[in-house]
Amino acid sequence: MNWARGAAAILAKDLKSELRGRAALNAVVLFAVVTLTAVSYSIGGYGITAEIQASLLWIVLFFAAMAGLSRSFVVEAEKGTQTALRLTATGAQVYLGKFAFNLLLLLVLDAVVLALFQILLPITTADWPLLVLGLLLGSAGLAASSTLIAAIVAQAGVKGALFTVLAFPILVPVLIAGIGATRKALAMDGLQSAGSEIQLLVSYTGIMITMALLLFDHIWKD
Amino acid sequence: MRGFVKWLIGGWIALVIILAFAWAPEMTRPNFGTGTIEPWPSFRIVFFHVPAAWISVLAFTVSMLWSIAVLRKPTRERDDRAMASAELGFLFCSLALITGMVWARNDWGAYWNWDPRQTSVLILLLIYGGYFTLRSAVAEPLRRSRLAAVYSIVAFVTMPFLVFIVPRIMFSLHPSPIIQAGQGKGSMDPKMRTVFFMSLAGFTGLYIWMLSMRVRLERLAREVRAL
Amino acid sequence: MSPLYVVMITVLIIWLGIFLYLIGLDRKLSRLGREMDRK
Repeated sequence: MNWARGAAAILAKDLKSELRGRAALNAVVLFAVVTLTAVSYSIGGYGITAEIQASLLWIVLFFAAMAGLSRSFVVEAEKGTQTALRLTATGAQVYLGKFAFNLLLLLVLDAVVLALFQILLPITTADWPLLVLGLLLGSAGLAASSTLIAAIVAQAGVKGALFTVLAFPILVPVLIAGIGATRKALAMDGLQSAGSEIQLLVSYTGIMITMALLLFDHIWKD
Repeated sequence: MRGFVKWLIGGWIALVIILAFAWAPEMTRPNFGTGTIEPWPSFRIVFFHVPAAWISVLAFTVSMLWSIAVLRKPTRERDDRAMASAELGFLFCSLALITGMVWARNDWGAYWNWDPRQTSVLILLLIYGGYFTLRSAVAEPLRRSRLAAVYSIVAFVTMPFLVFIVPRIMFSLHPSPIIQAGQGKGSMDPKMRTVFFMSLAGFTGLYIWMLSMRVRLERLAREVRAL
Repeated sequence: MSPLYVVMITVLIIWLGIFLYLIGLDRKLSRLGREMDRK
């Protein structure tokens, strides 16, 4: 299981530098807080439906993710650790390590956003297992594609908007399925009703990780 | 290449246009308001709308295949072909979207309805728009061809989700009038089916012709730059 | 003149325009290609 150890090593490295600097975490959480506050300030008084709540949750998640995950690989280019990584780790290990880091980042974001929601636009009744499952799977899908696109964008050498332009359309299936699952969780429709959404999220994440593992060496080589 | 074939394609498509309007029998649909069967003339758009969509998928598939070839051995020719096919896929996808919007305006009163299929096609256009954005962002040709190839393959993989799975999820929200169009296609009169497949053949020929022209243009442009 | 025929004629004319444009492009490409080959 050498690949797992390599991936874990990259994850550990990223976690360590993140705990030291907290750059990505700050960007992501701050973005979510600001967006959610702005939105709830403008519409919170009007009593929003479950559908809108579900959409808002995911839009905030998505844009925070776009803000936070775009720099997954830029850090390496800036710090000059790219070459070292290329020598010591395979493409698969780099991808999996980064993916794991991004997933953890998103899970923290999920918790923060949910907590904020309870304060600003409270969720009164919900099928919590389904809600959490939807968020977990959606975050996995988000992380899988975002890590892949971030790698491409880092090699393209251009910063900023390119990541969002490339990543967002590719992630639309996750957005649709995530909103669908959350909406059904809020409406207490039961786990069964969200079957297609769950299926989509699982298959999407699986396919994206597979594609990334197959293609990463081509992105990563010089 | 093959001179008379181009004129054949031109004549064939002209014939398809005539047959689609003058020979294919009138399609009908039930009018739920008055309870009668009424003629459905705008259905004829289907002979152009659906083949355009299918050729777009074909073009994106071809682009993906050439992209895999680029990753195996990165030559300029392979990259040209991957890019050219992606461009044509984008063009035919836009055609499908526009004909769809004309049809929607005619049947449902608005160009845009947030219909799940319509929205998915728009997202597909955005995804492949990203392909061209990415290409223009990378200066070095070898790296450009490699990164674009990877993106083309990833973009292709999202297509099944957008074209099949997402609309099914969104249909559970609000089944839209497009279901009737779907039924209309299934129960096509044999004459209609003939025109449809003739149109598909014509669009395919057009795509192949335009693809070869685009590749020739790109090769010429490179040779000119090398002068 | 039934509106359907008006649409048909319109589409035909548009296609004629597109097709002639493509043929023109094709000819120009062939001409340029031959010139480049000579160089």
